[in-house]
Amino acid sequence: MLQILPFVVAGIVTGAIYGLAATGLVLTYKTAGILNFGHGAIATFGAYVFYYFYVQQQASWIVAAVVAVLVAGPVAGLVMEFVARRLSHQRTAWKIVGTAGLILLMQGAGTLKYGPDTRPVRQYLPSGNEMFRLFDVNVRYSQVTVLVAATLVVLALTVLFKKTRLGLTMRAVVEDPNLADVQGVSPVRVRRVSWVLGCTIASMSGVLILPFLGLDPILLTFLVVQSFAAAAVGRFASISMTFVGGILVGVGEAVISRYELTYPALLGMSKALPFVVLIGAMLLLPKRTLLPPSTFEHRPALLWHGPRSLRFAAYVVVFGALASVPLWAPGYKLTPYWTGALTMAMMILALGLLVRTAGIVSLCSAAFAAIGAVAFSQLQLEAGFPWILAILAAGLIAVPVGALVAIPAIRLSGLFLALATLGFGLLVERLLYRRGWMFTTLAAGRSMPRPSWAQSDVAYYYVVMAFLLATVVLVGVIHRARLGRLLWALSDSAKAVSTLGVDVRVTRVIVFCTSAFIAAVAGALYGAMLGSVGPTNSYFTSFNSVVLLAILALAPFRVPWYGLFAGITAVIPGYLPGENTTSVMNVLFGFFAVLVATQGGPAPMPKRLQEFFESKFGRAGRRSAHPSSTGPRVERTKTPPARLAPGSSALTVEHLTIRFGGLVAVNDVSLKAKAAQITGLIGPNGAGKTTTFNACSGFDRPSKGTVKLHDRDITHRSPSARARLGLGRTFQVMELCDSLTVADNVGIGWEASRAGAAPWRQLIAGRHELSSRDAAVQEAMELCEVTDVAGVQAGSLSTGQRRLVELARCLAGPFDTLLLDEPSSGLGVEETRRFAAILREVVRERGCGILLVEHDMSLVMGLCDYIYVLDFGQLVFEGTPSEVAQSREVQAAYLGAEQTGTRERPQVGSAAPIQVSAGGTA
Amino acid sequence: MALKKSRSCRRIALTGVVAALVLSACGGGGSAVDSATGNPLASDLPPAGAGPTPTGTPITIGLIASSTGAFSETYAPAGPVSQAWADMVNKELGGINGHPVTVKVYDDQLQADKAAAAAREAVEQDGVVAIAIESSVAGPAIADYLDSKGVPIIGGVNFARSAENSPSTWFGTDIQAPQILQTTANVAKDAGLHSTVGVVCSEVPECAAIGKVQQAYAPKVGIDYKGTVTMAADDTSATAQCLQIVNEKPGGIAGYVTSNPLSKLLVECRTQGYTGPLILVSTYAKLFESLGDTPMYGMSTGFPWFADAAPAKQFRDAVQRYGHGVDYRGYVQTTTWSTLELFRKAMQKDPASSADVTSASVLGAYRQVKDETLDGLLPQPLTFTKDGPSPAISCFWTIERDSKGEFKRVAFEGKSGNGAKGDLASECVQS
Repeated sequence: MLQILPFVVAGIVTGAIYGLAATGLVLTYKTAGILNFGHGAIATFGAYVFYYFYVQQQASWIVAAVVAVLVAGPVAGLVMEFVARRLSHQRTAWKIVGTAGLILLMQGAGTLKYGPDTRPVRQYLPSGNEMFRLFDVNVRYSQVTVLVAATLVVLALTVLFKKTRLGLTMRAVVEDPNLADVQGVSPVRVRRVSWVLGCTIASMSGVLILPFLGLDPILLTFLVVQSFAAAAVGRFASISMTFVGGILVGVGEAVISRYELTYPALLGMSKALPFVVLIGAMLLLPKRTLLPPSTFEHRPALLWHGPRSLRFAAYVVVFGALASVPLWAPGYKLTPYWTGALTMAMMILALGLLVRTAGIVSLCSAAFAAIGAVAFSQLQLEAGFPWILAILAAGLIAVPVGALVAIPAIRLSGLFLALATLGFGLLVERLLYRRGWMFTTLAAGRSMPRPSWAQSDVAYYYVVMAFLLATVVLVGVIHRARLGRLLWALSDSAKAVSTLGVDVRVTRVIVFCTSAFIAAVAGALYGAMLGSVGPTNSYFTSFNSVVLLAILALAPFRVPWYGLFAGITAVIPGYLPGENTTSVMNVLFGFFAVLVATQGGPAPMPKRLQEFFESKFGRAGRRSAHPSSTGPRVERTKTPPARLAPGSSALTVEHLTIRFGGLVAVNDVSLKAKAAQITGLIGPNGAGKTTTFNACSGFDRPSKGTVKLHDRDITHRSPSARARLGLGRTFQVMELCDSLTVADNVGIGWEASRAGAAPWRQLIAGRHELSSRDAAVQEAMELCEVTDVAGVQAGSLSTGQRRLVELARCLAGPFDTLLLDEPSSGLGVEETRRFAAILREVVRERGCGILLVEHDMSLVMGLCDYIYVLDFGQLVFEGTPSEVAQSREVQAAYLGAEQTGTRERPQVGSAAPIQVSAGGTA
Repeated sequence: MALKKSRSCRRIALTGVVAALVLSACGGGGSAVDSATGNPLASDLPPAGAGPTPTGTPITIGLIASSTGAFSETYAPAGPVSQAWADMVNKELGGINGHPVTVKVYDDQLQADKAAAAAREAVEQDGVVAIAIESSVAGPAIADYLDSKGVPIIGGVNFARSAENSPSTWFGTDIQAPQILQTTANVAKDAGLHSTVGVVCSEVPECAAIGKVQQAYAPKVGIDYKGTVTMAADDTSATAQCLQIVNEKPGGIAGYVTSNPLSKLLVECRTQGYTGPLILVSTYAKLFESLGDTPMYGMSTGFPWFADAAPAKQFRDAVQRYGHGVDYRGYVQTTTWSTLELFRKAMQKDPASSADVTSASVLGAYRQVKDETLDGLLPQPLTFTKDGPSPAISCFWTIERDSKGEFKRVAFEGKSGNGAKGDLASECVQS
């Protein structure tokens, strides 16, 4: 044990700094709902400020520390609050881009100012390098000082949260910002305080770690990424546990490093540990812990889709220009700049498939590229594969790696998925890049030859261009095929897509695998361009993954143009040579990435330009995969009704109980929705209606009870499996695919169940399927009277129209049992009347069973055949509409005790109905 | 007539005074030095003898160096030293066979793709006839391209390929892998140590090979190699490494890492009780000076810059005169110099180079080089043949910084690798 003690001591100190940095991260995440990927950049900023005053200006360390921590930190906090406020209503991908852009900004600025070399900083704390003995271990006073300082700050923060009014208001804002606002607590002011505190703490951690690490923009930034592991141990919620987590990670790193020296097989494990912890936490923490606070998100801007003739002309012009490059560009610019730009375009297209199409932010593209490069070299040189086959096989080798990365994607999304991919990329870099079998043990790195038939720079350029063209075709085919449609829908609402029948886990695996394939091929082509690659090549670093994300965020246009545009940026250093070009580019990319993210993405093409192109090339085609939206009317064929025997049980819920921690949201509820009937489920706000729906759909797991569909137990089935068995649903808060057209939205309703869980069925649809889909879409749109807006982006419609589109989507699918959650909310009187008529027609013609949650009592009374009434999570009444109308229990539930007389809140677990005294009116 | 005589007398007198002053300056210590570099100020140097003005077609040599970017402190001096060499050749020696020579410096920023771009620009735009390398990433990125263009690589440091794996157009002038990995054992022996522990980087896999090479080689020269520890640039603590080192009780630490982790390691190891010296494989004055007062020994691939021998003095004089204040104290500086001097000598010996110089004529000239040592500036006699590969070089120099901060060559047992005596005498690893 004593042998390990020195490492424990060292690890506690480093871990305390991790923990300190992580508490700042958790603080801002809890109050602002934004996971700041640029947290390390803030720490780096603090370190730079300290270095400037302490080393360059020769100020005392106290002055330098005060300026860095108590001035620069709060200033950074105010800036971050401003940025975060603008990011708060943007989509998750932009939130990530907006904070990740800070990494580039800081790295570029730091390198411009101080160069890329690490600058050592001597220990500045008093008696910093003097020691004392503790249990036979040399301990430095600086280590003790760091530990004490970090602990005091965390303790102070904990006390602040628990004992002060400010802490109370911060917790209130976390729980319910609107309610806090009503109570006179300004959420903006509270968040500002949080950001100031969080950034001050980050700055402090940067200053403390400076003597241990030296001044280096990338090392400092990514060291704080390791603090994310500490935050994960604290479940991104508990400040004290986060600090403890940091110490545990630090000690773990240090102890493993002791054994790394003895057992070479462990080499890299100490560095990889934080990311193993991070990814492990992502996979093991309860899912509800990893749900960020939900906020309203701006709808994405409408993507203009140019006329076909314009697009064709653009392909000819762009690829013609690329093909002509060897004719006019100086030969020495071809390699590495122009050829490198082509491989970069491929990387951007690979990443764009995830980020732009599927809405999944991935920060490990560079790792896929490295795997592809290594695999290619081994296949070509050691296994003797022909060159092209080696390139393609290298891509295929990366596919299972992509599937591995997709595993977190199965249970994570948004911020945490991006974090998991960042952790994965860093894990691969720290653990695998240093292995001999990866980049060899030669100083020259891994040799990567060009094909014997394309050795010259010009010939090789055309080879790579051919691969780029193939990638463009592949990505284009994906976007036009079923997979593309599913990905677009997934990007807007994974929830909706899963309730329509798609196993989104399979979809995510497919898209990660595809992206990995393309990135791996790009990496192999890049390596062969240079002739050899090593682990320190910037193309394969995690930092490059961040750069790619920022460039992708800035690139305008749709696929594949954003890829080509972004790829061309790789040419800039060739035409603007200089030692600072790359750093200046990083500063610009980082800055504009943050700016664009706060605006929700690149600005769409100006209307005037759209009109100009349309006037020259014909009318713009609003993107729609369905000819029914723009082309000739598809002959409507009567959809065979999903026939259940009228009156048979469509959906049966038995003794359903749902708990959230200590709260019982639904208690022992049993109900039945019969086929060819409309069953109502009503109750005051908070009665548990939507929770019951969520349990029926599969989003909430019941503590007790069963859910049956057609007398078949589906309690433990996934939402998509339930949908494929015939259960459809709409949502109280609409889950439309806002960036798609109405026709595309409705089409997903049909297509999703066909796609299902089988990977090959998710890829493409057969011709006969397409015509069936079109017919179903036409019928559903006509039924819901939304045909005239078929080509309109769903996000631009009125609430009432969106409700109808959501219903039409449900009706397009093969569902025989529908859960409709407040479907008339937002509809006018006439719309509601028409809506009711639609439901009656659906029930009559298709024999569907409908379970309807509504607050419009006249609609419920006029429409439903049977009604269940919930209050406080319990079933308080059931009966026909007339029975419900006369029921005192129902009146009491809606109107309260004052109106109806004494009313006792039902006891949890009680089976007895509510005792209501006489009195009160309906 | 009387006036003319009077003016002539004044000129003679003035010249005499200047000469006296110069002679007195040469006589002993007390010359002013540049406080940053320690170099004598150029104004104190004797005037250069002017040679005939070269008038032939210019010869352009390319030098790809990592002048900026990471490790620029190591490689950046190569550029100014190469310019100083070109100025000396053109102004004092009449060029090369009457041709003025130009060295065009390309900065690869320690990135392979930029090195590839630099090589192409040098060959296709600037028409260089040969390329030298002072970068740890350029060699593998450009070797095959230059070979395909018939442009010779005339040496430089860190080519990063062993001799037998190099193309026939590469003419190495200094020790490469795997021999270079063996040298620290020799240095340790020269320093009178009995054992070493190696500290290697952990970020790149090639570092792992160092330990294996040392384990196999060190016993041959009587050094007990006690093991290898790894150190990464982002290690916040060197406790593990230093406890291991102290536990092994080595005579010296052989450091194969960059200066930042090395300085962290030193501080920690001193804390843990290590008192021995440090052995380095990157030998330049600024690095030594940045690591404090620890006794240090360095393996140098380039000749000792402080040697008294005439060729070394010529180097110092030229750099001080034309180098615009660059610090000449380092292995990159001396390797650059000896590489370019070899070029000059090879071309001067080849009659064909009196005509226009092309890459083909450079190749022809180099393939006639036989047993060349440049009077001690090269580590061993070099002979290049038509079919290559370049001979493996296994000789080097050991440099020590003593307690007064003075640099000196460390004496060794065995005969001189390059036949030189005094400070220019090189030693060789055992085969």
